Amino acid sequence: MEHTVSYLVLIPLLPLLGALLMGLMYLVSCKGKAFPEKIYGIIACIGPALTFILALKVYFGLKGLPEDSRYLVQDVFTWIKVGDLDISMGFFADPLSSLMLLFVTLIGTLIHVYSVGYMAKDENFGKFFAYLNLFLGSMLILVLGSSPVVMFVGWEGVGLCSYLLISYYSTETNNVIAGNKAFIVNRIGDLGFVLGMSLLFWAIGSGGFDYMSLRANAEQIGPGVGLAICLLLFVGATGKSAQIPLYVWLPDAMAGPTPVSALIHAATMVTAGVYMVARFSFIYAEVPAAGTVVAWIGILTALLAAIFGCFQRDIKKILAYSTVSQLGYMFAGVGVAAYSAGIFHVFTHAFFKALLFLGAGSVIYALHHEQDIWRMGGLKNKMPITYWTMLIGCLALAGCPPFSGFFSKDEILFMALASGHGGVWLVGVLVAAMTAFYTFRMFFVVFHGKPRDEHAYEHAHESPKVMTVPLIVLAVGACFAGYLNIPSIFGGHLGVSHWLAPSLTEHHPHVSVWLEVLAVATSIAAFGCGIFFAWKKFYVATAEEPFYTGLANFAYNKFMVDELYHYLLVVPYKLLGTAISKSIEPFVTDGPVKVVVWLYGALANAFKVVQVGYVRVYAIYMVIGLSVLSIFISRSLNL
Amino acid sequence: MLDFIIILPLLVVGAGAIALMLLASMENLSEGSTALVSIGIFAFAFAVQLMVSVSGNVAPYETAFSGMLTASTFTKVAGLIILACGLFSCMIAQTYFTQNKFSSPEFYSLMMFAASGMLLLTMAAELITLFISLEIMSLAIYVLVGYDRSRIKRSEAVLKYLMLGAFAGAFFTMGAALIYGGAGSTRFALISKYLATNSFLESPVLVAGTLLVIVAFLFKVAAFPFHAWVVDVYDGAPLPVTGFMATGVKTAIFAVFANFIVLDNGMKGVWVDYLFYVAVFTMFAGNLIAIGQNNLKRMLAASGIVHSGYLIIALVAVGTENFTGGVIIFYLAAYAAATLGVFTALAYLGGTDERRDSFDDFKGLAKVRPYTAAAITIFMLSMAGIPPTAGFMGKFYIITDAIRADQMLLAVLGIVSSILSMWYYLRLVIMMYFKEPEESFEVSGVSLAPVGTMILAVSVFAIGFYPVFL
Repeated sequence: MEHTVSYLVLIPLLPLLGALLMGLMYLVSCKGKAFPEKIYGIIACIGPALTFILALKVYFGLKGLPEDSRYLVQDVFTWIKVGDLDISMGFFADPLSSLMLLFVTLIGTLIHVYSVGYMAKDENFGKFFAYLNLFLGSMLILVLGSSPVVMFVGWEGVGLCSYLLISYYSTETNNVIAGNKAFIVNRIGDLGFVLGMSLLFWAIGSGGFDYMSLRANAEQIGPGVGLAICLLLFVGATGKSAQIPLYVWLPDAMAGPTPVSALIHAATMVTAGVYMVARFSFIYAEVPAAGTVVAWIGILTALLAAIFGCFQRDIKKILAYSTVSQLGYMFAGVGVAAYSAGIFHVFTHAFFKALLFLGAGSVIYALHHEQDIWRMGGLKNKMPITYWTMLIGCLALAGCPPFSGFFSKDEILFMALASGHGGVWLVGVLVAAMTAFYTFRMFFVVFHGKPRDEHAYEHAHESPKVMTVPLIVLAVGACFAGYLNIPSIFGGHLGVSHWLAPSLTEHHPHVSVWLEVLAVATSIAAFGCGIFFAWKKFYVATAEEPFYTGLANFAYNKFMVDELYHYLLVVPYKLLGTAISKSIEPFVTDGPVKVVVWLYGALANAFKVVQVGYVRVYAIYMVIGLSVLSIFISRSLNL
Repeated sequence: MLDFIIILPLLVVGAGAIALMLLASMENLSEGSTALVSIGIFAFAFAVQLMVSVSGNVAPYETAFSGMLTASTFTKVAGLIILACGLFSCMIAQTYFTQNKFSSPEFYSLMMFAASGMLLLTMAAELITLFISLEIMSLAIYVLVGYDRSRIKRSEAVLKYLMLGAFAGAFFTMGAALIYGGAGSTRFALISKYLATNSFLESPVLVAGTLLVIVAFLFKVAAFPFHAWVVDVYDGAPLPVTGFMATGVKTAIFAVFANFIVLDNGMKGVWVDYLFYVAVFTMFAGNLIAIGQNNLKRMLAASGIVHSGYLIIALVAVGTENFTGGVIIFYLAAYAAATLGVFTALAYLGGTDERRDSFDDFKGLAKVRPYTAAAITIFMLSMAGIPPTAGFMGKFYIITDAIRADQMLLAVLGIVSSILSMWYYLRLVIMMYFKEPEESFEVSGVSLAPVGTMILAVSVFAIGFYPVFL
């Protein structure tokens, strides 16, 4: 079989083995003398680097196959076999997963390298890299799993690692709370995913539960069930990819070390939801109504997060909200059935967002863990590499042509317009303007103007090479990743979309060139407006922190959504729990249980009497037993 | 030639036993080297058994020595388990005798004699052979139980075991005689042939004979109501012997029990109805006895009764057509690994005269010896049947088998019993982890048992991942 290969399993296995090895090394050395950081660093980077090479091998392997049957599979072993449910621990690579694979492994490797510098002299160095490798392995299982169940293993794995890494600095209570929040909110989403998966199995699972069988049987799903499946799966996606109403965990997740924010909360894990929707495009394509819901939730999330982003003062939180906002775009893309556009934005976003986070990490590192942008300023000359790479990242995020973000975002907005979702398009354009505004607000305040904290400014310095080299590589990616999918209006031929086409179920609407020109022109205008306002307001050397009042203050406080959730959900839930534990628990459930336990204990003590210890008594038991058996069997004799 | 290949492991162990008995006359033979030599012999025999098991693509059932012995994958794996039990029991003994000074080379020799009896028992396909192998095993075990003559507790144990064992042996001989009277042969193959043409229930002599034989088996595996001896004897016997009895004897008897019960479908059908009650009573009586115990060895003895109950469920559920015994052997392996694991740990925790014996003595062990406590916890969880241990998989296979054989009630009662058994298994875990130590005593001396504990702790998981060969 030309489609069966033997190296797919290695891709998740290599980082997982690294995690195991480093975890054991950390475990045995955590009380005594730690292993040198160099050893951990080499082990940590070698696995991801090898997976990148394997990812290239997968890509070229797929490329060598005819276009309509581009997939590779490997079944490692039968994992679960109960009734109709026959799940093999199998891996499946098609153009969609190969694209994900390429950037996840590339960016993952770069972030591992960067972390070696960023985390230097951390006392739990080994633990950090064990977690990081475990995360990458889980993400690769998620991407490569041959069925929703295997995907769910990775899905849970990244959730777990996210928890572990957010609360990595576990000496501070707030970090632990942030980790818990991420985990709990993700669990709510996971419930939706599990329900959706179960429903999918109930609907068409008997014909095989791997993607290829599901895709072949997708037409048998009724419209109602299809809608339910899509929406439940989307609940899972809102948890993992931080959409309304479950986006609240992501900004708090910035409590983790900055490379973690870059890897997990920007480039890879949060894109899992988008990937999942694209992976199930064969179901979503059947139910346009579900797509509309996804698109609107996505674009509204983008709007909300953009509003919050304009008022934040923590550099990482600004980036976090920009991530939520960009994820919103991606969902808008997959929602309007432009799956390849959504995935393409995932791809470009991974580069520039990782770049921005690592750049922010470089700034934070230089200023000795200062994250408040209103205490930075004028860093342009002190940190030239960080400055120029960040500039590229910001331009890409803001959607400035010809950087990568422009092409992907524009493609989504154009597809929204072309597929008749005018409202989504309009909000999208508004958000584009706001994105440019808040991105450059941050950029100008951090790098231009006069230093606001003289002391920190004096000690600021450019980061070591191990951190700047990944920045430069990512900056190159952020510049040029967009050229892989140039639309025809600019003389391109949508390379990525064509590459992805066999994996997705999507139709390209044919629209007039003028509509496309309109879309592009509006996008550029929106970008221009945004950056102009930011320049006007914050480029001046003396720009000071504005004092927020009224609606702005409300936005600064994130519309009190966290508080709303707290009082609307958490507090009543806790009250209910307390009420149950004080009334029902001791009287209704505990009582009978305790009585049963006591009775059984008493019975056991009574039974102990039988064990008298006299051999003659034991012999009598035997005789009685034999007699009883004899009596019964003699009655069943058939004479 | 094939005949001898089948009994090759038996020959290795038997020759080892005789050689060691002769070597014992040399005065300068040290205790430690005897232990090492016997561990080596068991390991070698295990390797031989392994090669016998994997080599040769033989029919599922082959007979040897004119139908006296039978060999199948079932008996071969049972042999592997028995030899592994012998190996780990020798490790236990090595450590145990660094603290307790009543060892001599003959001890290990007797262990090997017992093991060769067990190996023969698994393969026995004829009633006289069965009886002889049963006696080879039992006599060696009797001597081992009372090996420490200086202690009255041991003598009491051996006396109880010997008297009741003789009782059961008499049942067996009587049963064998009646079966010969009824079927005209002592060979399993011919009995099966006879039953194929004659109805089981129309031959009272045969019914009475099988009843007596089965009672003898039930006695040896401590099934209700023939279980009463087991708690006193396990408690009284020296630790290595208890470990060996609990695992090796049980494996051997269940192997031959299964081989016997599947002789004929009609006969099995009759006995299933009675074994049903035996299984239920065995499980629940064992649980009640175990809950009442404060001594760890007595608790393990009582829990052994419960495990016998599960294995009887497995017997009830086996099909006579294409019998493989995979479920039974899997459970036996899981049980043996967990039980021997606890005993290896007890060997180096126990101290002189098995001082650490009650639940209270294990208070706070997790603080003093975290790895051992973790290993013991694994063994307890496996016995209680918590995933992902081998014990869980074993119970899972037994319960699903019972459901497949339309024994739904038995399956449910098995699950209930499994829940009840957590009472005493988790009690030990609670003692180790959630109580403060009252008095701690360190046991010193170089010993092999900790190695055994760790190997077994790993194998509890490894066996769990190994699928049953159905």
